[in-house]
Parts: sequence; structure tokens; C-alpha cells
Amino acid sequence: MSNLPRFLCKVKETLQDASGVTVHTDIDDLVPEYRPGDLLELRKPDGSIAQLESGLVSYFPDPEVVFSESGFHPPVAFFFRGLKKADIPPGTEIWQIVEHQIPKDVKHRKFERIEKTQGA
Amino acid sequence: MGNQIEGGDGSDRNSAGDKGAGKLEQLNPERNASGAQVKEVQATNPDNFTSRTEMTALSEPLTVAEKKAARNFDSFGIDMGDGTVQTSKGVQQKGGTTVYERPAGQAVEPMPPPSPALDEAPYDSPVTLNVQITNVPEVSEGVKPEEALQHLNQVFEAGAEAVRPVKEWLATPNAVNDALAGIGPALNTAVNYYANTPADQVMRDAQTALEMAGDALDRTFAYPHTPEERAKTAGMIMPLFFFEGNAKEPISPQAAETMGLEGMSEAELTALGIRRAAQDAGDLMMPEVPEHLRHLEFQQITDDLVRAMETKGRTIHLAEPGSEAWINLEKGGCNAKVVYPWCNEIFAKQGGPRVALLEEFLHGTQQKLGLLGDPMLPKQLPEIHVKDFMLRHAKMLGLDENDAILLRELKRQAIQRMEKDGYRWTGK
Repeated sequence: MSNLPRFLCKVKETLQDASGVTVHTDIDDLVPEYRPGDLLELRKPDGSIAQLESGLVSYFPDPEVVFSESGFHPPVAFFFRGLKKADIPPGTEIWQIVEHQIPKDVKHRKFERIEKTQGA
Repeated sequence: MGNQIEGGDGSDRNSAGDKGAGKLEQLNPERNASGAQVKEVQATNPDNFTSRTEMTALSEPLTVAEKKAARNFDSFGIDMGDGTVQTSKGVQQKGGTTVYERPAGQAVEPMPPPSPALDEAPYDSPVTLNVQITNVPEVSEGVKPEEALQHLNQVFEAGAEAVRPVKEWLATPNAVNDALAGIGPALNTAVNYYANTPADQVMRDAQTALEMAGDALDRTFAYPHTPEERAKTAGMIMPLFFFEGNAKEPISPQAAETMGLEGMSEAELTALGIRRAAQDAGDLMMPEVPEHLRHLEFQQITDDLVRAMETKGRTIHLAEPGSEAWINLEKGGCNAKVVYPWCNEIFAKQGGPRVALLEEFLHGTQQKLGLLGDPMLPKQLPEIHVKDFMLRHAKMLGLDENDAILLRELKRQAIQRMEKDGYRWTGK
């Protein structure tokens, strides 16, 4: 049974890129039901709401970060095309409004379905 | 309802008949009429039983000599009136046993070129096929064509520039992905394919798979393609079958013969992506892996690499030190980034490691292959898959040991995250 919309995270920082904005969130992992390209609902601090197509940023970490013991991990970051930095202020809540069904049983030569080791 | 047979309760049966009727009911519970009831109905309506009581008339029995003659099929001969007799073994001379035979074999007459109507005509136009039927099986005994085609998936991962156009073609929106999806279960069967299949059989399977790929192209785009289009498609796919051999070495004469390459014109070979070695017309070469992907030093991003990627439709944003874009990458703790599912734009630090830019570039290839955003696949799979690929092809990509160490660690971390989502990595 779907429990959408589902709160995902809050925006910590918004960065301006060439063709849109990258927003860093306050989480370091995403629910498995999210897929890049999904619509997300943005609930801004001023009370306005927008539903936008989202991209998921894939980082190739700096080797120093990877091997450091700082515990730093690239944040979960979304990308929204065509927006300006001011369009998504920090504190904006991101809600999931599309949910993909995760297959209960998957047979593949390189991975298999198991029980979750922790709730996502 | 005097003719209706009432349900038998045995009340009108004699005691001797009761045992027999009881057994009969056990064998056939639906038959519950007594003999007396049957006779009563028969007397009332005898026509219903007439056909069952008439015996088929028997023909006169054959004599022993007639039976022997009937078994002697060779002597069923038909006198042809020219001194010969037609028997089951063919035409024989009277009193002799001359047999005329033609052994089964491959059709030797070349097929005429197909009519353009086959490929170019509208669907509803009538066409006539000119078909040669042979008795030569075209399917490998060791692997089905679907399995051979499925093997493409494995070879895709070779990732050389030479095969990348194939990936892009296959990843055209709604391209052959659907067709390939239907044969996914064959993947495992293909794992030991090369280990167990003779080389010449591999070649034949490749041909069959190429034909299937052409058919898939037709199905995907819902119209027949011209021979040129199909040749182009086949040419794009063909390197996949040979790439893991050695693209720098000539195709073996056996392979060239099996594939019918020797008889092709230069134009046809070009359409298939094959060239003749300059000094030795007898050597046929597969497309080379481009220079920028061969024995890379893999230290820093170079202009050549950027240009090569841009020719593949990517936009590379190189961030200069101190710029906002640089700072953005720093805040992400990264040297490069790409956005799923819009992987055509890559952001990277100027002078950053080539391994980072290459990894992001390959995400674009994954996206075109449909590996990104598929709810049936774990969301971490692309990250694991691309690093797994790079590690397996480290030499081809020019990765050094430091790159490999970094990729192994990133892969390990991605596998950990995938396990949190409820998946276990079972690959190496």
C-alpha cells in the first residue's frame, strides 16, 4: 500500500550549475523506490509547492575522500534543470510522489535479492 | 416418460445380476441401468440400437501367397512402358537394380539479389519471396541463436570506442532493448559459450545473431530497413564478436572464409566496418580501438580525451580552479559528476584524473543501454557495474594500479550500499 507523498529529505545547499541547480540534501542514502527522472515535490519554506522532474547526481569522489578516515561521503544530491539557485532555498523539503515497485525476487548473474540489512 | 431409464437402485434386478451390476457401477458409475431396462427401451425404440447390432461384413481372407506379395513393397512396380519399372527405390530396369540417387546437400546456386520491394515497399504491398530451401541446419548445436545474441551483452562491456556506436544504436529509445529483454534468461548459458564452442561454430552463430539483430531492428522501428541500413547495423555489431580476440590482429582466414568476407567488395567491407590491411590485401582487420583509449597513461584529463567524448555527443564542463563550478565539485568531495538520467553533460575538474571523467562518460553509455532508472534493477547497480567494467578492462582503458585500487574501493562501497537496499552482489 502506497504511503505517498513521502518525505525524503531537506535541502542543505543549492549550487548553481551550467544548466540547472544541484541541491545537496541532508541524507546520505536514498530509498530504493526512487528512480532518476522521477517527479519530486518541493515544499519551500515560504509555503509554495512545486513538482519538478529530478535528476540524481552521481559523484566520482576525490581519492583523498574515498580513502580518508573522515567518514565523509558525497551527499545525496538532486539536479533540477533550468532553475536558478534562488528557486530552491535551503530548508526546502523534498517529497517523493512517485513510487516504483521493487521486485521481490530477482534472478541475475551478478546480484540477487536478499533481506534488507537496514531500513531504507 | 415410459422410455426414460430411472436411476437404478437395484430393486428390479435379480440377486445374481446385482453383483455384476455392482461391479459395473464401480467401473462405470454413470451406467446405472439394468439389463431389463435396456431391453425395455430397445423394444420401444429399436432404431437406436440397430447400428450397434449390425456386424461389419468381413472381406475374404488373403491367401499366404497373397500376403507375401503384399509385403513385398519393392515389387509394387509400375510398368513405365519403356522397359523400366517404378519402385520405391526409384526407377529400375526390368530385371536389373539401377538406382538413381542425388545426395542431399547445400544449395549451390547463388541467390538472386532480393527485390527492393522486400525492404522498401509499404507493408500492405504484395511481395513474392524467392526462397531456396536447404537441408543444412543453421543453428548451432551448442548454443541457440538467442544465446549467441545474448552474448552481445557480455561483449558490450568491452567498452572500446570501436563498439560504442553499437551500444548507442541499441540504446536508441525503444530500440532493440525490448527484443533483447525477451532473451535475457539465455545470458547464463552463454557464459561458457566460448569455452565450449569451436571457433567456426562461433562464426556461424555470429552470422545468425546478426540476422536476428537486423530483424530486431525491423521490429523496433516497425518498418523494414534497406539493405544498406541492415548492413550498417551488422557492421556495428560484428566487432563485438571479435573484439575480445584482438582487434589489432588480422581476422583469421578461417573466420574470414566462414563469414564470407573474402568475396566482399571493398564497399561491402567498409559497410561492415572491416578494412583490408594496406600492404596485404589478404589480411582483414577489425576496426581499431581509437588511440585515445589505447594504453592511456590515465593521469590527467587531456584535451584529446575531452574532444573525443564531445564527438560522442557529450558536453564536458571543465571547471577551472577557483570557479563556482570548481567549488561546487569540491563541496561534493568529487572530481567529476554527472546527472542521471541526463548523462550527456559531464562536470569535471580541469586537470582532474582521467579515470573520473571516463567513469562519468561510461555512465552515459549505461544510460543509453537502459541501465539507469530501471525499477527492476537495484539503484546502486550502475555504480557497481561501471566500476566492475572498468576493472575488468583496466588494461584496455589504460588504468594503472592506483586507479584500480580506487575503483575497487568505490565498488566495495557501492556494494555495501546496495546490500542496504536488499540486494547481494554475486559477481566477482
